[in-house]
Amino acid sequence: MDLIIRKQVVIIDEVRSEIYRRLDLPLVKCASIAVVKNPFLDKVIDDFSGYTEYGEKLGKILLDSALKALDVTEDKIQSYGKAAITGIDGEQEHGSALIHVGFDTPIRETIKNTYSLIPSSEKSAGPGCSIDVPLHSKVAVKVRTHFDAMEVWVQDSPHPDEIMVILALAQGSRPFPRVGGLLWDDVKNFDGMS
Amino acid sequence: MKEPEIRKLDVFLETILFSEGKVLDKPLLKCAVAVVIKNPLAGSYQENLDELSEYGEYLGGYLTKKAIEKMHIDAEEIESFGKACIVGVNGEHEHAAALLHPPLGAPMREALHGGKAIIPSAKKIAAAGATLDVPLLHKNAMLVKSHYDAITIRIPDAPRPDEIVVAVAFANGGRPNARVGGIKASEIKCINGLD
Repeated sequence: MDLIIRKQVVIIDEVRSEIYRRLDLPLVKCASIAVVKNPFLDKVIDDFSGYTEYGEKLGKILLDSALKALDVTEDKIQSYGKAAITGIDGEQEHGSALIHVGFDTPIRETIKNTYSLIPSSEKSAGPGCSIDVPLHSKVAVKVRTHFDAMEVWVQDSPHPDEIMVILALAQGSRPFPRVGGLLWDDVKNFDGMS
Repeated sequence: MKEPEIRKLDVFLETILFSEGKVLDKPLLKCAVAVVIKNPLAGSYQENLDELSEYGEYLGGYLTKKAIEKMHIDAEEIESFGKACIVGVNGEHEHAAALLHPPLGAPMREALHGGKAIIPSAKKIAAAGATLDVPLLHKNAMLVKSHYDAITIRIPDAPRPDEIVVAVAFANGGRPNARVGGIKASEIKCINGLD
């Protein structure tokens, strides 16, 4: 396996107040990004499901970088999401292969109690295109306070022959959530849903 | 010195590992830290801009320390620096100058334990989601060509019309594979901030 990482970017977005009403605890969101050379260019691949090494390596690198930059332990993470932008010489499926095969394994090994699916967005685009990485609760998809997203953008990435892979994490709910639904503390089933 | 009302703090940390076909001997680490603050002077002309300058004095040290912490390096390892502002559309260009120019530099240098060169800056009035290129140059000699650089940042929801984005940026080295000549960082005299 050859995986060339040109650059890594970590973006931290810490919201301390909303419309000048201070939050008791700041909402901290983090996107950890790797810009890698597309390992699948010029190859005809009918099934990516065996290519687990790329995803496993990226999942671990991105999570380690995020936790280091946030300077928190894994238990502080409440929600997550992932995304990929494939540069325009590749196809969307190349980026999808990096975030759907093997990627979740190191994340679920490190972050405990991750019962829910990791939500994702993916596309093919030129450098500097933004992507909205969806976020929801790691415990149960239906926790309504934690439905969120983080807009991510890296000025020079991805080049046409690259893939930009993103892991987004958040330490809490939206600021002042008040649209009802299942609450974080009321999750009972631990089936990933409710 | 006065602490402003900070709505949010954003950190942009880039690690460049590979360039032009080869792995860099030393990864280039660039970091920008920005705060989004309320502009107390938005919407009206004020002759006196001291309130913003007091915020600048606070933010110079606060943002620099935050950047050093997030880069996980010693202050002495930082080789280049820069600062920049985006004023929301209900403010004026001079608000950025009041924040950046009289007060922000001294506490930045103090937190870095040095820095003889001028701190390069950029400022503009713009809507939320505008990009900001924070210029960078060598902290001790502004004629070192290898360290002329920038880091581009963007906060999707800031600045709102009555807000200001204030950013500082640092790097632990010059551009990857810099080769346009001029004075080398290893040759500077470190006296006058120029060479």
